[in-house]
Amino acid sequence: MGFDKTRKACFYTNLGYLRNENRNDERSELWHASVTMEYPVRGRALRMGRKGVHPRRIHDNQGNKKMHIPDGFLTAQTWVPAWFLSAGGIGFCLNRAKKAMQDRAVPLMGVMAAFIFAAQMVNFPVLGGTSGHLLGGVLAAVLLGPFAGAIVIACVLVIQCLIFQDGGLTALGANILNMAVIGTMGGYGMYRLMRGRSGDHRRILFATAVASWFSVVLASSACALELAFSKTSPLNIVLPAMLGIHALIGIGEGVVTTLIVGFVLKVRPDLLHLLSHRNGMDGPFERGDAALNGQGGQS
Amino acid sequence: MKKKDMLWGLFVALTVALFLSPFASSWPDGLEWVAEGHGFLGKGEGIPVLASPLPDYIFPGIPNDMLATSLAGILGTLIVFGLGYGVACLLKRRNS
Repeated sequence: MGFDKTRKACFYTNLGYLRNENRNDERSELWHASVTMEYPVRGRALRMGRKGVHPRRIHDNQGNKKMHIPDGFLTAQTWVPAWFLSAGGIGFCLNRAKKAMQDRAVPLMGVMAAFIFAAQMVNFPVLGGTSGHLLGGVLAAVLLGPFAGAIVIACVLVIQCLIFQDGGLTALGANILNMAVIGTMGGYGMYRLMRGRSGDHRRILFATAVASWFSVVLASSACALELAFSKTSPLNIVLPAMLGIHALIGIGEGVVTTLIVGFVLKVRPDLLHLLSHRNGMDGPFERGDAALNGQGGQS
Repeated sequence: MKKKDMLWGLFVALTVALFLSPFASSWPDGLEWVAEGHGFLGKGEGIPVLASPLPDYIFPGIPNDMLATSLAGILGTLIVFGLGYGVACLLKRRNS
């Protein structure tokens, strides 16, 4: 389109849609909207400015909903020990959770696992074309305690791997180790450290926020160590990169977890693990007087 | 936790899966972004060791991507709920 000298500037708008589908697992689509402006600078020289948005970027043939370590990132010398370590960690958690298990905790574990699975599907955008999603480790641990919390996250990871091909089967041990064992239990450790024995809601929420951020950073650094150990990427490169981006993603984790825990504190404070030390009521996983536990469920 | 609470919780989880998951950002997540930036994303793109029934959270045979994601989310939420509940039941039985 030629430029008319009598006009001061030209605008073009453009809306495009592109879809590519080869097989069921190879699809990509792109919406594109842009505005172009053309205006005279001096004499015949024209200048063009363009502003466009792409809500969905064109993707590689691999689909775009992978969140966990896939097959191939880790060598056998890493994923085999990771399987053993995670099996040991989850075995320990099963043992500890079993001892403190109560009737009330059974449906809560199912609901937490279901909710965390659903929430993990909702990626939120982070700076610069990256996204993050809830890990949920601290959320599960605050409500269920660290052991049942880790088991819940492991359940989510197993289903994601087996049914949805999110995270490789070889890397499943490492994913469980990073997120369920290290992330959840480490995050819970930070939560206890920050919270102490306090029952003050503001302090609980502050501890939750810090611990959630910490759990994401902790899990991502464990992942970076495994990648470096597999010689997939050198440690001095992959560790700062993983820490940097997950320090940002962790903020999202902190906000979401704190909002949910705040909501639970408002409507069902009795569900919070260890919340009720002061007034004598027990959380769903505390060993103690069954009668008191019955009362705890009524508030 | 009573049955009513459980159904409420499950309802919330299913709502998230049904209505929020299709609007998830499709930008690469933290690990994928680092892998892309440092040139090792390709290492994970071989043939997976285990072929899963619903790769990429897409329910097969549904032309609309968003609906396919929603349905996969619903199905996954229910399966994970069952697994979590089942494991908890087993733990409870072993305890008593």
